[in-house]
Formats: sequence, C-alpha cells, structure tokens
Amino acid sequence: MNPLLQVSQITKSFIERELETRVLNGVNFSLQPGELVALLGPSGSGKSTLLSIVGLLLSPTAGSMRLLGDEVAQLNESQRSAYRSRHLGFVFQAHHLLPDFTARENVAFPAAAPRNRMTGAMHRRAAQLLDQVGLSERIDFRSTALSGGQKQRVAVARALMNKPQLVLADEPTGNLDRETGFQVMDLMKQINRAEGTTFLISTHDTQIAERCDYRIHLLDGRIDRVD
Amino acid sequence: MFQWQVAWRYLTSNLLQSALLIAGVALGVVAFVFITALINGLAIVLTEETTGSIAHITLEPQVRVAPVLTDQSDYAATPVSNSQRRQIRDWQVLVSMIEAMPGVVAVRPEIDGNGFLVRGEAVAPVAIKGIEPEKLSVVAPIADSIVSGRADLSAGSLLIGTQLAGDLGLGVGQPVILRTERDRERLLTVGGIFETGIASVDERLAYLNLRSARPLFELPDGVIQLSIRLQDPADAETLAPALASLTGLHAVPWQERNRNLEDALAAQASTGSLIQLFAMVSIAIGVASALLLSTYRRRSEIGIMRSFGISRRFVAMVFVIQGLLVGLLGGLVGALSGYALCLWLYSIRQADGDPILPIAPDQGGYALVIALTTLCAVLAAVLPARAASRLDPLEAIQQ
Repeated sequence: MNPLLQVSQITKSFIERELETRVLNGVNFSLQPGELVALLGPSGSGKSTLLSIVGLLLSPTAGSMRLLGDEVAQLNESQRSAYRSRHLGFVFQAHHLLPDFTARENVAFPAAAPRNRMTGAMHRRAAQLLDQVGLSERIDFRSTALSGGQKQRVAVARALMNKPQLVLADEPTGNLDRETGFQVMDLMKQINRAEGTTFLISTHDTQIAERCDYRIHLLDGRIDRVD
Repeated sequence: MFQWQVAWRYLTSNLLQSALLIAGVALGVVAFVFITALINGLAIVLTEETTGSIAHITLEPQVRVAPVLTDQSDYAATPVSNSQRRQIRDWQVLVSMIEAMPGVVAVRPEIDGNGFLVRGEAVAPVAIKGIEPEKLSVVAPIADSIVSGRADLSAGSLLIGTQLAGDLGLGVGQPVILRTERDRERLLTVGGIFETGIASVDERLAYLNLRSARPLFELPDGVIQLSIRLQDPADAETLAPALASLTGLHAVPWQERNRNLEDALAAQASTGSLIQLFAMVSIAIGVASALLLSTYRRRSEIGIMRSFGISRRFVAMVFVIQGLLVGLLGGLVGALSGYALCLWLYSIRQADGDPILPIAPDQGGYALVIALTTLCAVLAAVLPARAASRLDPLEAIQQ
C-alpha cells in the first residue's frame, strides 16, 4: 500500500540574529492511510514544528515530503493553501473557534469559505458532524456559549468538514481537564475507526498516546524510536 | 456571498464599536454636505443677485475697422474707425428673431448714453437708458422698485433713482433738464423714483422713453444695444457665440462683465474642495485605523482561517467589504443627517425673511458624497485587508 505521507530527511532551522537553531534534524517517517499515530516528545523536541511542516503551514529547510503521492515540501503559498483546504484538517491546542459564529457555522466554515457560499448541504454535513461529536443539541449555540471540552469537540468536527485524508492535532487535549481530554481523544479514535481518517496527534501525555496505534518519539529534533 | 455574511457578522459583532465608527464617518459626511450646500447656496445667491438686475447677454455693434491693403493683398493693419456712429439699424428684425429663440425670455432695444440732469444750479451726471415703456422691467424689476410715483415712461417722463432724486432735491412731477453727451437738452418730468438697493443704479441711472431718447442722442432709427434676458443665466456663455454668428453683432455674456464674481466663486469652490478633501481624509483615517485594530484583534481567527486553506483573497475581501459597508452606511446616515441640518438652518430666518445662511439644502452633493465616502472607505480598508491577508497563519495561531 502506498503511504499517505512520506517524510524524508526533513530538516528545519530558524535563524535569529545570525544564530542558527536547528529544530528538526533529518526526520524520516511515513503514515499509512487509516492510521492513528501519536507524536510524543518533551517540550522543545520539535513536535509542533514537525506538525506545522506536515500541515504545510511551514516549509522545511531541507528534505522532501510526499503527501498522497505528491511532492509538497516546496509548494508555493497558494498551492499549500489549496492543499490544506482539500486534504488536511487541523485541531489545535486552543480551539480557535470563531466567536461570532455558531457551532454549526464554525464547522461549515472551511467548506463555505473556499466556495464563497454556505449551502444547505454544508449545513446538513456540519449538523451531522456535530451530532457525531455529541453536540447535536448545541449546533446553533455561539461558540462562546460552549464549555472548553465542547469547543474542542467542535474543533474536531470542523477539522473533518472537508473530509480530509489526514487530520493533524497539535496537543488537542492540552487545554482540557484529564477526563475531557480522554473524551476528545476517544472521539478522534472513534472517527478514525469509523471513517478511516488518518490522525497524527502531537502530545506529551503518554496516556493519550497509549490510545493510538503506535507512537513516534521525537527527541532533540530526531526520531528517537517508534513503538 | 459568504464573504459578505462574514463581513456583516464581524461588523455587527460589536454594535457599539461599529455604531461609533459609522457615526464618525457620518460626521465627516455631514461636514462635507454642509460645506457643499453652503458654497453652492452662496454661489446661487450671488449669481441670482448679479443676474437678477442685468442683461444676461448684450448685443453691441462690432467695432468698425478700416482695413489697409498691402502690396501682397494682405491686410497690414486694422485701425479702429471713429468716423461712424456705432448703432444697430435693423434692430426690429433682430428683436423678433432673437425673441423666437429657445431659452430667450425677452429682448430689449436700448439707446444708452451719458448726460447731465440740471435743476437750477444743481447738476448731476447721469447714465441714460432709452427703452420701450412696456419693456421697463424685463431686465431689472424697476417697476417693482418704484417707491414714489409710477413706472410711467410716457413721452417726456423720466424715472430716476432715490439717491439721484435726493442729490437734486427732485420729487415726482417736478421738472428737470436733461442735457446729453450730444449737447441736446430737453425739459422732462420725474414720473417715478425707484430704489433697487444697488447704489450705482440708484445714484446714476435714469430711464427714458426710447422715442424721447432718439432726438436727444441723435439716433433717428437705430439703437445702441440689445439687452437679452435668458431663462437660465448659466446658458449665456454658450448662447452668446450663437447669437453673435446669427446677428453679426458683438455678443457679451454677463460672465464677461463680471469676472470678479466668477473668480470669487472659483476661489470659494477651491476652499470648499479643500475642506471636502479634509473630511474625506479624516473618514479614510478613521476607517483604516478601526479596521487595522480589528485585524489585530482577530489575528488568531484569521490565522485559523488561513490554516483551513482559506485564500488570502477571501480574508482580504472580508475586510474590504467591511470598509465598503461602513462607508456606505456612514455615507447614507451622514447624507440624511446633513440634509436635515441644512433644512433646519434654511428654516431659520432673519427679520427680512431671508435665511440666516445662504444655504441650498438640495445642493449638498448627496450622491457624490455617498459615492466618495464609500470609495474612500474601501480604499482605506485596503491597508488593513492586506495586513490581514498577509498574516502568517502559524504565527497568528501560536499567539
């Protein structure tokens, strides 16, 4: 089976005041379709940077990356935007919901904006996704009227709106209490199992990571081990 | 259009802030409308006052020239001839022809000249207008300005201004000798005394029957000029060349004789334009700063939108549309408020019934100001829109 994502020799350096800081140093790994993978590592290990590069929010300094068979490491800004819109979903540590919109509008937003219209079909899919994450009774609530856990569930539903092949979650439970964190994690696993959506979840919580198919351990910008 | 929905939602998310922004724009528009209505009103009043009592076009005989031929059959010089009297001989035909032209209200043939009014030892210089009695008031409303006697221009009767009457101690029915520049004189009777409020007219002008003027100015057939009144004085400059070519006479529009007024109105309009420009600049600065603040406040939202793959263009358009809506709403509210202010000011009258300000409420440039404000607000929104669209999504999300 062709891998969904193939990361080869990815290096990322930041230069500030002529001082180079290498955050990633020759990272190699691949993801198969339908996998639920945890990216584990201590703070500063390069988890978020790697996730940003895989999410096409950041360009690597060197290396190659194939997503769905296409080389994507050196795409230009508009190509990366189009790729993100079509194939990727994001869940961040902070939910980043749009406060002036309802839960349903937030979920439908990634589909409506590129087409510049909100259709009935989008509304229906958003409602269905909110139902899937257990928020069917809150679909028309403003995001400001939801609890932290509910907001993160909306963020998960939003990440799935465009039926992405790969969802990237950067510390998705980091701002939640333990129980709610587990609920959100279980929700992502449930979606992964039911729909075959691939998840790459960055976390430093081993109990969250235990719920994934396998774990990629990152240390000092390199893959330390995979278990 | 989803961009419009997002822009509207952003605008209405903080009603008080948006209302203040729109109020600020509207205030600038009110200033624009007020200045425009005032300047236009003043121009109307001054033009009406000027054109209300003068001929809009004057037709005079061409300056006669005596061409001198050179040996190359070219004219070498064209000295002015003073040997012949300048007059319009076929004036009856011209009057009928011009009166039939569209836009022409009346044509008055005139014998104009200078002379002296002599009463006993008192002598006063006077400008004489010999006219047909029925056309007394077609140029200036002299009949309405009569303060003593009647607008009687029968043979032997004279109408003079109050100042002139005062200078000579003349009253209605009293005799006075008119001595003209041709050294002819006749005993006339003051038929009426007028007061126009224009010092030069009340002090120097006297009206006389055209027939009475003929022997006094030695013009048995012709007239000196034709004074023409138009429906719209503004047409004078365009009609004058047509009349000149039609009649072969020299046509002088009123604007040519009142260049000072034109210059004053132009200077006034320039001052107004400067104030209007300041109003527009202040609107643009207000909109740009408010939207820049909004861009900053919504950094993480913009970042998350961009991470979804939403294009820079979409993000930019959301802010441009906000600018457009602020400009349009501010323009409409300001134009309506400005109109209401102008109407109110127009309704406040002085003791003589004139408005305290020469304002023209219907000349506030409303369509222009709404269009300009919207355009300015859109242009002002471009900077914040660019800033928003260029936000690095990762940086914005991480904040």
